[in-house]
Amino acid sequence: MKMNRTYRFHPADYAIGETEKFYEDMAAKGWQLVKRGLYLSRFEKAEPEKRRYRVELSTTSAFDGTELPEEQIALYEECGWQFVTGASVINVFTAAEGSDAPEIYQDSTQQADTMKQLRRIYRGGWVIALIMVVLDVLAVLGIAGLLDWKLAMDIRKAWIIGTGLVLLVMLLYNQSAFRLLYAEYRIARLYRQMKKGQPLDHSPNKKHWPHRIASSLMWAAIGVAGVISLYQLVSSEHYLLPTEKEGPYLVLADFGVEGERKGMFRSVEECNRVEVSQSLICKVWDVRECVEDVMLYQDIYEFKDRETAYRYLETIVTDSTFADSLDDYQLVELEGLDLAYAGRVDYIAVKENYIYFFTLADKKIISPLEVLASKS
Amino acid sequence: MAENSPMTEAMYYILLALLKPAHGYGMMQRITELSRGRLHMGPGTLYGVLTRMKKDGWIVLNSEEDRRKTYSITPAGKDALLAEYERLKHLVDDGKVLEEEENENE
Repeated sequence: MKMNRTYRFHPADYAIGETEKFYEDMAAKGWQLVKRGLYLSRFEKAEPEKRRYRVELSTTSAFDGTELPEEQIALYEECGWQFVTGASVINVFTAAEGSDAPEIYQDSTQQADTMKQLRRIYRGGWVIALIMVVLDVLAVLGIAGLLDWKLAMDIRKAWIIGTGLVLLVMLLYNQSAFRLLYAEYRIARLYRQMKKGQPLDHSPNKKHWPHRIASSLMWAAIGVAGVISLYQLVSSEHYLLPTEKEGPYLVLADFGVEGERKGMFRSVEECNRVEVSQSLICKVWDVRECVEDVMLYQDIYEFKDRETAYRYLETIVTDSTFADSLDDYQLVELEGLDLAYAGRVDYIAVKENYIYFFTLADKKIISPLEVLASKS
Repeated sequence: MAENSPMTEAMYYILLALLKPAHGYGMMQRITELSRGRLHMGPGTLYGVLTRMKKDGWIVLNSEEDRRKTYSITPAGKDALLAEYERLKHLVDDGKVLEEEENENE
């Protein structure tokens, strides 16, 4: 089947001359602009034709409606400029090449004044960009373990269990910040040039290579992070806690707690389950078990080696119910465990390349640390 | 738009064109005539200037049928146009020295 319509990403709103040239090039290839959306433009198959396209900017905000006044459109059409489509502040007019439709503006300073709303939209973009960059820097410092703020620690925690996703969010932040700053720069430059009387270039040839390369690299990185995230998502699984354990976790039977599986505040299925996920840094088993009136939570992290496990220990401690750091725990000496700490309801152990984190509120039964040590 | 600052060429010709009520496209044709084919005013320029002058009370909406609006000049607009005409005439008169100089050189 021959397609008679197509969609393309169009140049950004600030690239006015590029937008005009883009539509002209498409028309020359036999694709006539039908509709402009926020990011995509729709084209329909037509005879290849040389056409002129011109962008007219709306000067009103989205709040008041960015459509051009009817009178203005009527006037342009009387002069031979046919209105095609509009989205946000961009309105597109066209005239056949060689028609006597006069150039819309003779005076670039006057055209510069129509950039009022476009400039307003992007104004302050650098503030948002700055916030994004600060968040990114915070994240990097947090991940590197150079900050011990709650937020930084939370990011580090997210990094451990969901590397790809954190990377993806950070890169998207980066990309948005970059895009906002670049847009603001381009608009300011175009406005300055037009105010000085330099007419708008309707078919610019400048390729803006540095920007293109930087932008492509960023998108490539976002793509990679996206693939990693997707892999993490697909490879993670959860299932009912099996009767025969098949992971490095403990089961309440090891504690001598036998009986019927129960649900506490939640269904039996939700209180007896295993979630396994894999990040670039570790594999995590998140296990819940509830037998009779005993509830046991476990997070078991498998790192590639002991050093890595030690490096992330402090971060994993932030999951504690009643403690902020290892200082709130008591060091326990147990044979078979490299390190063991007991808190009020939480227990942490390092054994080889594993970190075990238990939460057990019931004091009547044996400590998970001892069970773990005895299993070694 | 300060009353006594020089007008742009577009403003001057639009006011001239509006000595007789006209709608947008008619104005542009008249401007081309008035300038003896020298000026082909674009609709963007025209629309921008009309909006400004309407706000300043130099022109007024006469009638509106369908999407087509007819404008005419107001007394204030006419005063401004006359003042500008006088100013331009002075400029041209003052420039006469140039011709004298040219003649002497010949």
